[in-house]
Amino acid sequence: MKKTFKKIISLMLIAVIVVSCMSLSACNGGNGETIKIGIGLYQDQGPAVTATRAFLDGISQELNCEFTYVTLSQTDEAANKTAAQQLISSGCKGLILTMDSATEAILEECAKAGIYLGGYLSDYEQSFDSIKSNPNFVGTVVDGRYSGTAWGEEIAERIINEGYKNIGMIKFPSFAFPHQNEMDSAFRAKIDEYNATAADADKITVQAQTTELMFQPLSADYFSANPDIDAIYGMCAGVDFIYPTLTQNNKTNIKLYTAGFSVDDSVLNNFGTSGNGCFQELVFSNVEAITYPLVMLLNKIEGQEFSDNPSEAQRVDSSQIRITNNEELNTVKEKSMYYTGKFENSFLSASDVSALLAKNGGTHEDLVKAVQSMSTEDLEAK
Amino acid sequence: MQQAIKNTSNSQNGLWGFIKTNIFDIFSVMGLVLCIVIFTITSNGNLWNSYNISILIESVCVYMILALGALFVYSMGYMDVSVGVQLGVYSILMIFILNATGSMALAFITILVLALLCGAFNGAVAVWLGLPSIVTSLFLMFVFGGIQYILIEQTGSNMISVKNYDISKFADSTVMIIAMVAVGLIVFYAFNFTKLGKYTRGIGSNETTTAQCGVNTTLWKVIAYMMFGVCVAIASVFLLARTGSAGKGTGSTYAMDIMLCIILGGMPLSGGMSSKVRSAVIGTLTYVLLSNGLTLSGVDIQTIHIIKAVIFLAIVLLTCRDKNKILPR
Repeated sequence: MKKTFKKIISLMLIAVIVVSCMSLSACNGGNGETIKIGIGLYQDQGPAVTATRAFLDGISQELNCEFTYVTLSQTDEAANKTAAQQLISSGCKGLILTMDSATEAILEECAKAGIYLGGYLSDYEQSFDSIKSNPNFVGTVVDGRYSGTAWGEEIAERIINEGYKNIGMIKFPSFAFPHQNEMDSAFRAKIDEYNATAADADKITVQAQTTELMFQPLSADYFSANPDIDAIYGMCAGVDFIYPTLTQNNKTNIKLYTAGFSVDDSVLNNFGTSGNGCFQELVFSNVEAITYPLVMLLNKIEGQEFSDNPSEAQRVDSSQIRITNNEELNTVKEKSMYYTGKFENSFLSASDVSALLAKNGGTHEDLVKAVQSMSTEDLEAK
Repeated sequence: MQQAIKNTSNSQNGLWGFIKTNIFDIFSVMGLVLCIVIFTITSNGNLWNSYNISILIESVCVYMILALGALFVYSMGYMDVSVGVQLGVYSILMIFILNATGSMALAFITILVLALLCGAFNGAVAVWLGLPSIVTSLFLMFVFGGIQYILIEQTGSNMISVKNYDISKFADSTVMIIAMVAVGLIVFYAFNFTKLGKYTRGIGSNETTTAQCGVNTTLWKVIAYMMFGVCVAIASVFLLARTGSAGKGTGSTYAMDIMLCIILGGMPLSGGMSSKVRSAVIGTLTYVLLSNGLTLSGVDIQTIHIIKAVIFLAIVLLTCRDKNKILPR
């Protein structure tokens, strides 16, 4: 009796899946005319994924596109190649991938299938030089600025102005994020410049050796080794990797200037002058930056070319949202698509994106300008 | 004798007897057929386009070779969770050797020796220390995981690529099919017509009885794990050939995937006399078709995870017989 019950239950489960797949197939029918684009993200959920999907859903009808999503592995090249192959098999004419992993092997697959690849919020650091002339690669939009120097200097200026004296330095490993070394060096250079003329009592001490997090949360030992710090420059994703350790060790009196963002109230309610005031700066890139690889792909697929088309694939900077005070945070909450997840809050409407296509008279210069006009000031001006 | 009794019993009970005796095989074949039929319809024919067939072969190759090797271990009711990180380390080592010497033979012999040593360690140490073999394989998993991390750290990058050798020739569909068939035939022969297969199944059925029949179970456990090691080394070559590069996470998912393949093939994780080579073959084909077909059918990524979990649950419900022998030792 028990055995029969188990078998009935399992067969029912399988039947449910079969029926679901059949119905799904029926729903997918009739889209033969649309251009299918495969999107590979390194996460399958979270606000960035929600906002990216909302943006692409919002523009899909105007551009006559449909989007299929896969999740990429941050460390497994073979898994990423399989994901790309499956997208190609499912009829995608273009791929947009956030990971520079197995890129050359994936481009070989694209060449075989006659389709194209673009990058999204990734500088393709490891493969860019070898693939930029590949005709199947359309370029990539970077997660913010390719060079980390400017942000390092900007944070140093804030630290100097706000009067903090002992600064902790935390980043991800250089092999994974080489540009965080530029942020680190630029920050230190700016502080050294200040210290050269400052009175002894006003001099700023910077943690001698920057702590590298191996994609694990900061260890509580950090505070024993650095007992006097009053602020941390977290070049890595401090919301996830630094702040939890600060709260667990009652160290939220230390001010945190960091990359990353969260829509979680436990973070946003402690920003600036609110709550424990631990967060002093948060930075994130806009999902609308996906417009760059998308438009480049659609041009290629439709056999169109910009009048000022670059001779080889480009690595284009995108503007970021820097939140430095409560007013800016309120603006983000009210107007940023990353926070609201609503297409109506997007920097670009469907017709704006369509107008950027070569067939509609758009230029490469316009396209670059579009993804570089999404700063905090642009958000406030909306 | 046993077979004769089984045949007599089958002929006495007719079709129902045959179904009852081969119920797990029937379910696994039905599962594969069901996948083929459903995904042929839901993928709008994309499942059978020439490009997809080539990527199916590419995906199946590594899983198939690993599952065939794992058969010897799983038929004893044991398992090896270190296989994923072993694959990663062997891929990285091969890249180092290929980039330094350009010699594929040297690279393969090096990883083969390592794989055999790991197999011997897994089989022998567990017996000598009286530990469940999963514990020694867990130990190897942590050691190899650390080695993989250190090797990649030393390169100053998060991945390394083959520079001095054309590894892509091993990614050719014909080469992969030849490799799968060759490994399949050797495993089929060893599993069905040699002492190795007979004794590993015997150990899975009842280790004490097998030992009391005069079988040196320690020796055959070591040989079974070493046989798996050979397959891991071969699979590493084809895994590396797929991308020509390796990183910190290369191979990381294979240990669990292989277990899923074998379960989907209808083989009980408790091993024993009902273990069959076709479980590895059918299970691998079903598993790869499932992942490929769901993506081709446009199923959402979150839904794919749920579907895989539901199918896993359904198969376990169908195949588990003894509440004390669901999981390997």
